[in-house]
Formats: sequence, C-alpha cells, structure tokens
Amino acid sequence: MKLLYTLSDAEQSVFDSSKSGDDSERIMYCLPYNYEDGQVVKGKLIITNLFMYKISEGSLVRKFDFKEMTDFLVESMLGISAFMAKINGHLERVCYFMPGRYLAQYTVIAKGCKRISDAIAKDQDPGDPVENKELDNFCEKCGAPLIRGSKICPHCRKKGGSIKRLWALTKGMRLILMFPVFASGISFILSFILPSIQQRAIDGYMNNPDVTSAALGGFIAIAVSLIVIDLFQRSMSVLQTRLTSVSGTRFIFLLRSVVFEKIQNLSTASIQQKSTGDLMSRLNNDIFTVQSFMTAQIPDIVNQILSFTLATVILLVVKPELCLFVFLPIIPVCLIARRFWAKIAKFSRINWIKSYSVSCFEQDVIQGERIVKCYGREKTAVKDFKKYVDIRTKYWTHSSQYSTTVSSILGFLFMLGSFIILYYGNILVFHGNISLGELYKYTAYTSIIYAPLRSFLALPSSLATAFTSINKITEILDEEPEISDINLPIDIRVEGDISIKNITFGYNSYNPVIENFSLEIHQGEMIGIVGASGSGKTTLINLIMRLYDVNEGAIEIDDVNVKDISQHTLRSSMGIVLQETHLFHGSVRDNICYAKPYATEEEIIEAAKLANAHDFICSLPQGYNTIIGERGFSLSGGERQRIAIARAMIHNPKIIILDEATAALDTETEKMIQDSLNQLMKGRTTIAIAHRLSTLRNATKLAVLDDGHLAEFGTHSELLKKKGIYYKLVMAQRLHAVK
Amino acid sequence: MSDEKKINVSAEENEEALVDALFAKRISYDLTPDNSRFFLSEGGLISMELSVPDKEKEFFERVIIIRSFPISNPTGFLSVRAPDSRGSEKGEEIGIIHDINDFPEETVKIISEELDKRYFIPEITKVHSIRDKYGFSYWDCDTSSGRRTFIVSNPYSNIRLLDDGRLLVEDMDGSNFCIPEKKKLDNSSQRKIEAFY
Repeated sequence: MKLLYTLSDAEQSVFDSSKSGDDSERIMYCLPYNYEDGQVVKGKLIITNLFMYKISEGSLVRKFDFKEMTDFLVESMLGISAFMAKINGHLERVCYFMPGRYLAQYTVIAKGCKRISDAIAKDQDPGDPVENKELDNFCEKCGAPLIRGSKICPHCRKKGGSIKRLWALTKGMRLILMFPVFASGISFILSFILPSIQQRAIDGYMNNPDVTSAALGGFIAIAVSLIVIDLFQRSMSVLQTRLTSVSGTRFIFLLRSVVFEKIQNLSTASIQQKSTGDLMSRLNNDIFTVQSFMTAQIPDIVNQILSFTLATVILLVVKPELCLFVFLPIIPVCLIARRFWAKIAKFSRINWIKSYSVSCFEQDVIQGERIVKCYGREKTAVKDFKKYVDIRTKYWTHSSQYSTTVSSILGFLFMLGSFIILYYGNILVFHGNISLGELYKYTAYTSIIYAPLRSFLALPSSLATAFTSINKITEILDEEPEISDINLPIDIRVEGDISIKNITFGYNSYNPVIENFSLEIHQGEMIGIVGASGSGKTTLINLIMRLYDVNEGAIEIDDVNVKDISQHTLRSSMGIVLQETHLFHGSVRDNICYAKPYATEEEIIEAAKLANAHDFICSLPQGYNTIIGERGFSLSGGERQRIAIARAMIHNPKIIILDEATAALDTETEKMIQDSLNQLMKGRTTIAIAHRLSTLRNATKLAVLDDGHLAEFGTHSELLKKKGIYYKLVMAQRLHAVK
Repeated sequence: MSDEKKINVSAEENEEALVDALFAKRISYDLTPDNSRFFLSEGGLISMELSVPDKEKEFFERVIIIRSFPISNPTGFLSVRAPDSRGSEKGEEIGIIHDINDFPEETVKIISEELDKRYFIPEITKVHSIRDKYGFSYWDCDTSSGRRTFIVSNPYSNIRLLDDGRLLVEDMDGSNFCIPEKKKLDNSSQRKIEAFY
C-alpha cells in the first residue's frame, strides 16, 4: 500500500516554505485528497512527525499541530469520504477524498497519526511510519485501475509477455495449430494463379476471333486445370476447418486443465477475492475467447495480412497506376466505415445487454417462483417481463434495421474502388493498352485486396477483448499461492493442543476482524465459541485450519507453528463440519469416504451410525449407493448435515471443528448426535460454534467473542456468575424456551 | 392453587423484565422542532439537544444524520444517530426527522449543508466522450463539481436507471454521479448515453 506519494515541485516548494524549521521534522506520510467545498481539487495531505499540512493547487490551505490533535478517524459517506481529527477537543473534518481509491490508505494513516500524537503527548519520537503490505487496486505507474481481482494493469503490462506465456502451452500441437496458416497459404497462392489462367482463357480463346477448333485441346486443358484447382482449394479448406476444430478443442482442453489445476492450488483468500462467478467465467468465457483467438483469429490475421500485402505488391509491380485507383477510395471509405462500424458494434453490445437483462429477470423470477405465488404477484411479474421484452424488441428492430441498411451501404462503398478500376480498365481496353483478360485479372486482384479490409476495421476491438481475456487467464497462471508449505514442512502426529498467541487478522488488513486474540486449548477439551454474528467466530476457525495466514501473532498446534506443518498433515488431522454443507455429486458412500477414499464398508457404516445417519440412508432407494448432490436425490437440510458429520468422522481426526454443525437438526436428532459426538470427542480436541447454547452444554470451557476480541472465557458457571455477555445470551434463550 | 400460579406468573414476568432490561435499547423519537434543537459544533459538525417530556434534557456533541432514502427522498426520513465508539454511524438512533422542511430555516440550512457534505453526487451537465477499453469505460464529462474524467468498471451493473428517469453512475473510485433527465442534455451528450436507458 502506497502511503508516501511524491510531491510535485510546486507542492514541494510550498511545503519547504511552510515547514517549521525544526531539524527533526520529517515527512511520515503523504496522501492525495480530492475535494474542497464540493469542487474537485488536486490536494496533498502531508503528515510529518510534528505537523499536518494541507496543500492544494500550490498553496498551503491549513497547518495542523499534532500537539492539539488527539483522535483520528475516517468517515465513509456516499460517493465521498472524510478524514477527521479531534482538534482541541472538537471533532473536525480535515479533508475529503474518493473512497474507492484512498479509503484503505486513510484508515491505515489514521492509526499512524494516533501513534504520532500519542508519542508527542509523551514527548517521545513516533518512530518509523506504519506499513501495510496490502496491494492497491490501482496501477502504481499509471494510476489506471487493475483488472478486477488481479494485480495486472492492462495499460502497463507488456502484451507480448502474456501471448508468449500462452504460446509456451501449445508445445506439441504447434504443427496442427500452424497448419491452417499453411493450408490457407496454399489456397491463397492458388487464388493468385487462378486469375492468370482465367485471363488466358478469355484472351486466348473466348475473346479471340482467330481461334480454330484445333486449339480446342488447349482450351479443355485450361478448363480441366480450373476444375482441378477449384477442387484442390475446396479440399484444402475442408482439411483446414477440420484441423482447426481439432487444435481448438485440444487447446481449450489443455488450457482448462492447467487453469483448473492452478485454482486448486491457490489459497482460499485469493479464491474468495475472485468470487465463484468470476472464476467460472474465467474457466468458461475467457478460456473460450483465448482459444478462438489463438487457434482461429491469429492464423486468420496472419493470412489476411499476407494476402493483402502480396496482392498489393503484385498489383504495384504489374500496374502501379491501377494500384492508385484501388487505394484512393480506401482512405475515406475506411474512415466512414469505421464510424458506421463503431455504431453497429455499440448496437450489438446494447442488444446483448438487453437480452441479458431479460434472461436475468427470467432467472430471478423463476428461482423465486414460490415467493411470487405466496404474495400473489404473478400478474405484476408478467407485466414487468413484458416491459423488459418490449425494450429488447425495440432495440432489436432498431439495430437490425440499421445494420442491414448500413452494411449494404458499406458494401457499396467498398465496391467503389472496383467501379473506378472497371471504368479506367475499360478505357484502357478500348484504347487497346491491355486485353480484356488482363482487366479481368486486375479486378480479381482488387477484390483480394478489399476482402481483408472489412475485418481489419473490426480488429482493434476484437484484439482488446482477446487481450483482456488473455490477461485474466495468464494472471491466474502467474499467481503464486499465498499459503504454501515452507521448504521442509514438518510432519507431526497431531495430539490436539492448540495455542493461539496474540493474533490479529483481517480479510482486508486495514480492517481487522480479529484483534490481539489469545486462547489456550488443551488436548481433549471441548471449547464452545459464542458470540454475535460478525464477531469473528468463523474467521477464528478458518485461521486454525490455516485457510488464511494470520497478520500478526501465531497459532501453534502441539507447540509447532501451523505455518511449519505441512498442509496435508494439518488438514488430515482435522474433521470439519461447516455451516453450509456442500455435498459433491456422487453416491452417499463417495461423500462419506471423501477424506478417506479407501475406507472399508464397515468403517463407513460406523461413521454413519455415529452421525445418526445410518437409518435414513437405509431408507433411501439405493441405500449407500444413492446419488446425491446438486443433481441427485434431494435430501433435507438435517440429512445433509448428518452426512457431512459422517464425512468428518471417518478419518478419525484428532481435532474436530464444528461450525454450526447441528443448526439444521431438530432437537431430538441433535441430542442423539450430541450423545454420539460425546462418545467420539473423548480424547479429541473439539471446537464448536453454536448459536443454540444447549448445543454447548458439554463444553469444557466457553469463549465469548465480541467484535474480534475475547470478551469472556471460562466454564459455564464461571461465566454465569460474571453476568456479562454470556449471561445475557443464556437468559434470553431460557426465556424463549419458557415461552 | 391460584396463589401459587400467581407467584409463578410474577416470577416469569420478573425474568422477562430482567431480560428486557438486559437488552434495553434507546427509544427512537419522532424529532420535531418542539423536542429537538440542532446547531453547529465548534468543529463544523452537528450538535443536538433533545428535550423529551418527562425526561432529562440530553445533549449530543456530535450526531450523525443519515438519509433513509438518499436517492428517492433526500429531505425526508432523516435518521439522527449517536456515533458509536469508533465514531461511525453504527451507533444508536436518537430519532427520525420526518421532513426537514418542518424545521426553522436556520436548522434546515445547517443540516442541508451537512448532508451535502456527506452525500456527494455531482450532476453531469455535458458528456464529452465515453470510450470502452479493456472492459472499463472511460468517461470525460462536465459536472457540477468541475470537469471530471472517471472510469466505470462494468458499466451495465454500475449504472442504474432510476424510476424518475435519472441515471446514477458509480465509478471505480467510489464516486457517484447523476445524469438528470436525458432531455436536459445537449444532443451529442444524449447520443453518448443512449445505451444506458
């Protein structure tokens, strides 16, 4: 995170002239601010170890003395944020800035300022500026936004690099990949020969009054060669299409598996940042775009450029003045065509968006069909839908009318050059300067020149799309997993002592979810974790599982830092049942032995019995072989949870983590599972999160979390005596139970 | 028999009262010129005095005023809140102002000025250009806060057509802009934003 922006010369001189003159004064932080009285300004907030300077547009706006300031905070508002300070006991807004760009920086700086003012109050030196390793969302060099969820600036990144990276993947299939270029090269040469032969046919026979029947043999030879060339060209194009589809599928399969493998190795943090939808779209849309770019577009572009230059060169050599006529109309025509083209592209984008919004609406309403029915809103839904469809239809008609008209006009414009050549050529033919056959040949060449022009016009936008996708893919491939094993990870036999030593952690490091948190859990204990939603319970568990690394402090298992234990050992010693139970597509059996693929049938049944799932599994039509998961047999929430518990039990874990694991169960089932869990928990460390306090009645100790801090810790009766947060919760739930 | 039952009931009631006391929250009042006074604090923020009948007068050095409907009803249903320990608006609600215009002119002025600082949505008066590149849309516009160039990521989810025909644009820096009714703009600007209606 950049906390020290550089000053421009003007700003530097303003700062120099308003400095206090104290030799120990040094700049700690410097951040831009954006607004003053509702207008945009280019301002800088300079923070030294003694003062705070607000400089805007080459003049000092205000100077703040740290001796007078106490508290610092950031206020986030709609479209604007403010940095505030308590000056002489009164809270005041110091400056306004853009939240999306500087909110994180100012939040960090608020802490830094507090440190400075505290140090000054005690007459000490504030020390070094605070640091934050989090990355900004904006390019350091040019300030443009990075591609979402990535660290790549589309403007600064060298384009060659990404393509090279992808090209390296094509090893072993380059021959197939390049064949289309080769094939079209051949058919392209043929298309140059063809006009010459046709010229012969016209000049030598068709347009020759002296021709005799004796020459018929020659004519037939020409006719046959024309047919052969045509046949050859066509078979080449068939071969080319077939090979392109082979290389295309191969490439996409390869790329997909590489990307998928990479995603599996990434840390939870970076995956969470990207969101499932984003990753799915990279796996589907972006890979598809890249594939068509690499296997179809690149060969095509190479071809087009080749044929364009070659035809131009030939024409230049044979008849330079004709070339002039070809190119004269091209420039204005291209300029006009570009405008039309841009508009057509815009229309097609609007069209896409409108039809997308129709399908979004459909999906939204159909998914919520039960709610629509419950509230009797069917008619409104239909009305709204018609509105969406109407807009879509309007645009569709409009744009298709426009594009048909315009593409005819464009077609005509592109032909203009040919008309001029035809006119000029005819004059030449009349004067006997060239033959009719030659004229035919030249017009054929002009059409070869004109053909690629249209696709050249669309090239910039299609290249931009392709590069965006390429960047998104290579970004995943280049990413280093944040959480990885150290060089020589330790394989220990986990016994189950967990000690959490003064940890601080936040998903955004400037906004900690857990702060200065310590907890000792001994082997065999059951720790219940209680607290309001958002107090950091699930985060704590994620840290123990090392799905994320702590920012400060350490988590130790059996006195070994979790960072030093191999991830495989760590996770295989834990049995985890999470709030949202995801079951994979497959049989009940597959799901239960997910963590231990070679479990015996006996073990599977034992685990299922422990989870109180055996009975209902037996009543399924195919018993343990019933297919469940998203597309399979639908189970109730409680049944899914019980299978998840069985899955966690099968590999005999030393540490059991239950995150609201029994929330979807009825009281009776919960009690049954509790009893079997109690059997199982003997000798194992258990960490359980629950809102229903009765779930935790067997807990050795309870930890109450409040806003990321350990508020209370002790046994049930100790905490009741304390009359704190836990007492409140117990009282409230007891009252509910009575009612 | 009946006595025993009565005791039970009262025990239950007691417990209920106890729990209610444990979870007690501030009562939120309807704020009117009669029960509340607003003035500027020394730091330029809003202070408030609450005087509800049968209760002691309360003074708040700083209150945070939130628009419940910042886009559809900027002057009504203002939630007046006490800041929490971190100074954010997540503290408890003191009360709601149904319509700011019921208050004396001086109050309307200071509260409106404060709200304009907190809700910053410059109006776009002319669109110079909109270009799409690398999945972002680059805008260059004249706005009520001066000439602005800004970048909108994924324009079709960050630009909202409101019920009253205005367009709300949110850029990558978290700034908001609003385009008034289409007809108020010049022709070339209108053509550029066509796609978003």
